[in-house]
Amino acid sequence: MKFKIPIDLKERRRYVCVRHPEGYPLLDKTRKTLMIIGGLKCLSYSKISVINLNREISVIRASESSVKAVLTAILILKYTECSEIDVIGLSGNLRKIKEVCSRIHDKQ
Amino acid sequence: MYADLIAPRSVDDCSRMVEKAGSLGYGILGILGDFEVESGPIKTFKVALADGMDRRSRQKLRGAELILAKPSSLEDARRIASSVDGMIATYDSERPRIDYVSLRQLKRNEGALVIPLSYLIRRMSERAQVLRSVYLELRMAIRIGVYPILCSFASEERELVPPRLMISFSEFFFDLRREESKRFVKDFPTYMISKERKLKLKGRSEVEIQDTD
Repeated sequence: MKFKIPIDLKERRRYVCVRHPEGYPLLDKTRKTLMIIGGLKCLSYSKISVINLNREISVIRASESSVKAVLTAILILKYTECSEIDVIGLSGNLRKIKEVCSRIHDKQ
Repeated sequence: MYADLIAPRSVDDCSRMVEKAGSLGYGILGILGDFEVESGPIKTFKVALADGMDRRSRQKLRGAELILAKPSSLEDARRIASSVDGMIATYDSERPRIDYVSLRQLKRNEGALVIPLSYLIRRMSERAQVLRSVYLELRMAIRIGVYPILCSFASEERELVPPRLMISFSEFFFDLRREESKRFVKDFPTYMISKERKLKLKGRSEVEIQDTD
């Protein structure tokens, strides 16, 4: 018997490209903030990972349902800890995000 | 077209912020205070805070397209309520300070509830309960028909954030749909300075400020 998964149950990936100061512990800080805001909303947002493209630009990988929580966490970090953090791009395609990042890196 | 309200400290800050706001995708920018800068493609307008009933405070309000009142000076603001265009949400207390009566008065003036994001987040990181008062006030505002506006109230260039971060913030914390929270940074601020609203209010506003001299 074949079992089909309904299309809306498939969780799509979202990649958030973030510019930050050199050596900034983005994964730890984002996880900590997500824990705080998750506590406020009685939800959990732990499944994120960070890909470091270079020293200043990283990509946060999150699921579609938790991308707004991740963006909120970055906003909170920007206002409370590190005002240099900026969100450069957001996409469901890692290749596109890498292209955007490399274009920004070349400009610098 | 996305809109934001800023509170710069100096003219230099203001011109830099106007430039950055353009690159972030904003088309309309409300500037709190007396700063005159070249706005370029961005439309700018003056915002004033009604914080007293004396002559000097009232003079500050002249020429402003948007007059806001703080929750701390709510009583004063109530006396000139028909000319106040917006109330700043209670971001520094666990209990709402704006009640149904003030919101109904504000609705008569087609007013707005302004949520200052930078102040709210800083307070929230110290005491998370402050979010509750803003949430309750927002619910009341939506129920009564007062237009909620989400703005950064940034005082420095680096405090400006892209509109999509503001949208996800309100979507996440206030349990709104994306279209609803988008209206907080797009449609409502645009309506507040539109001709349509001015025509609706013609003859109601301004008169009361001048009469109290």
